[in-house]
Amino acid sequence: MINDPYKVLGVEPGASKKEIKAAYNKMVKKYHPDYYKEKHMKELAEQKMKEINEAYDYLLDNHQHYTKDTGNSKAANEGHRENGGYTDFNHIRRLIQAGRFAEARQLLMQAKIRNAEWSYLMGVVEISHGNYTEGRRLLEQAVRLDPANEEYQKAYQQTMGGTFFSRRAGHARTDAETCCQVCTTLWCLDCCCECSGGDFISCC
Amino acid sequence: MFGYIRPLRRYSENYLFRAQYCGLCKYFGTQYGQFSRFFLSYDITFLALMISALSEEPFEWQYEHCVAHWFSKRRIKHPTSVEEAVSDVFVVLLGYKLRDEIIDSEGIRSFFAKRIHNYQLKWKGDFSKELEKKLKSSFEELMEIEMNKTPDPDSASNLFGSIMKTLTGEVLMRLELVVDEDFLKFSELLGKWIYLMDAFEDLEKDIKKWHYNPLIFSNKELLLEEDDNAVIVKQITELEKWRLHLVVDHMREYYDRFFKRLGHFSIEINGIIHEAIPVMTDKVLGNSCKSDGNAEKDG
Repeated sequence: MINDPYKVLGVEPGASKKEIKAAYNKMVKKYHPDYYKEKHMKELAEQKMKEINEAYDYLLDNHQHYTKDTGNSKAANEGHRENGGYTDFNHIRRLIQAGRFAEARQLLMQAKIRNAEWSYLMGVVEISHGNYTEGRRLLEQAVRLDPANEEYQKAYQQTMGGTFFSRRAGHARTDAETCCQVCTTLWCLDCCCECSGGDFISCC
Repeated sequence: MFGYIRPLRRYSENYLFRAQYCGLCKYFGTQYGQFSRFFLSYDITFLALMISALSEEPFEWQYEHCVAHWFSKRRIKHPTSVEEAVSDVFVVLLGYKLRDEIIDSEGIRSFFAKRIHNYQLKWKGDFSKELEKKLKSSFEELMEIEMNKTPDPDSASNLFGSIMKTLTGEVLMRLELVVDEDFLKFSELLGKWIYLMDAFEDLEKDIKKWHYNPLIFSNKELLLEEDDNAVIVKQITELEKWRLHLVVDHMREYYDRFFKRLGHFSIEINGIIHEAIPVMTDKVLGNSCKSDGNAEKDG
C-alpha cells in the first residue's frame, strides 16, 4: 500500500467501524467520477476512488488490530509476546548500522510481529533503499503506535526536514570522534604549555 | 545548454567545469556531427568530471576557438578515454530523451524529435548498442510507468536512478576502473534527483498539458478540488519538497564515503556537491530566487 489508509479516508487511527464507513461515504460523494465532466478529471477521480476503496478494504480487514472497539492501537504493539514469534530487533538494528539493508529487510519480512519498532526499522530500511513514500508511511505508523518514543519522532522529523542521513551519520561519528578530538586537543595544549615553561595538565 | 548540475559563479570549479563542458562539446561535434552539440547537458558534464577524477587519467588543457566563441580562445579539457566512454552513454540517454519528446510533444517538436531520433541511429557505436540492449527492459518499464500514470514518485525516479547506475557501472568497466559501490549508489541517487528536479520544474506545464508527472498523480485530490493551477503547483511543491531535500541528503551520505578517493578536481567537485546542488534544488523549489544570479550562465 502506497498511501496511509487513515490519511486517504481522513479518519483518526483507532476509528470505529461506523466512523470508517461514514468517512468512506463522505469520500465517495466528494470524488465520484460521475461528478466530473472533463475526460482527464474523470480519469483522475477514478484513480482516487480506487485508492479510497483500497484504503476502506484495508481498514475493515485489519479493524480488530487498530480500533476503539477492541481497546486501542497499542493492541498491535503488544502483539509481540502474545504471538510468541520472537524477533531480535537488536540484531536488525546492527545490520542497519552496518549498511546491510537487504538482510535487515529480509529478517523484517519474516517477523510475525508488526509493532511500532518493526514499523520504525522497516521505515529506515525503505528510506535507505530510496523508497521514500513507503518509508515515510512506516515512520508515521511507528509514531502513531508509540507516540511517546523520541527515536521514532526524531526519525520522522528528520525525514521530513531532509536531514535523515546526515544526522544519522553525524550521530554515529560523534561519540568516538569527539572523544578523540578532545584528548588530542588537551595533549597538544599540554605540550605547548610545557614547551613554554608552564604546565596545562599537572599529572602528565 | 540544459541540466541541473551547475557550479556557482564565484568558485574556481566554474572554470574547470566550463573546460570539461567545452571539451565534451567539441568531442561530440567531431564524433557525431555539429547538431549533437546542442544536446549536451550539464549533468552529463558532471558525470564526466566525476569519472575523470576517479580515473586519474592524465590529460592536457588546450586553448581553442569554437563556434560560440569567435574572439577569445576557451580553455578545454583535451578528450581522453573518459570522454569517449561518456559520449557513448550520452547517445543512449539522448535516444531516451528523444523518444520521450516524440510521445509528449505535438506538431513541429515531435517531427524534429523523430527526425533526430532516426539520424541518431547512425551515431551509435558497438558499446552504445550493447548498452541500449541491456537497458531496453528498464526503458520499457519506465515508459509503462508513464503510460499507466503510476502515482508513486519513487517508482519512476528509482528506475531512472537504476538506469544511471547501470550506465555509470558500464563506463567504469569499459575504462577498467575499480567499480566502486559507493560511487554507483551515488550515481543512482543522482539519477533519482535529476528525475525529481525535472518533475518539480515541469509541474505547471504538465498540469496544463496533462502530461504524466508522478507529483501530480500522487496529489490528485488537489487537482480535483482546486481550479487555479498556480495554487495547485504551490501546494504540491510544499507537500513534496521533503522528497527532494531527502535525496540531496542521501546523495551526500554516499559522496562522503568515496570523495577521499577522488584524484584531481576533488575541491571543485566538493563545491558542486555541497553548495551548487542545494542551491539548484532550492531554486527549482522556488525558495531562493536570489541565487539565480550565482548559477553559471555557461556558453
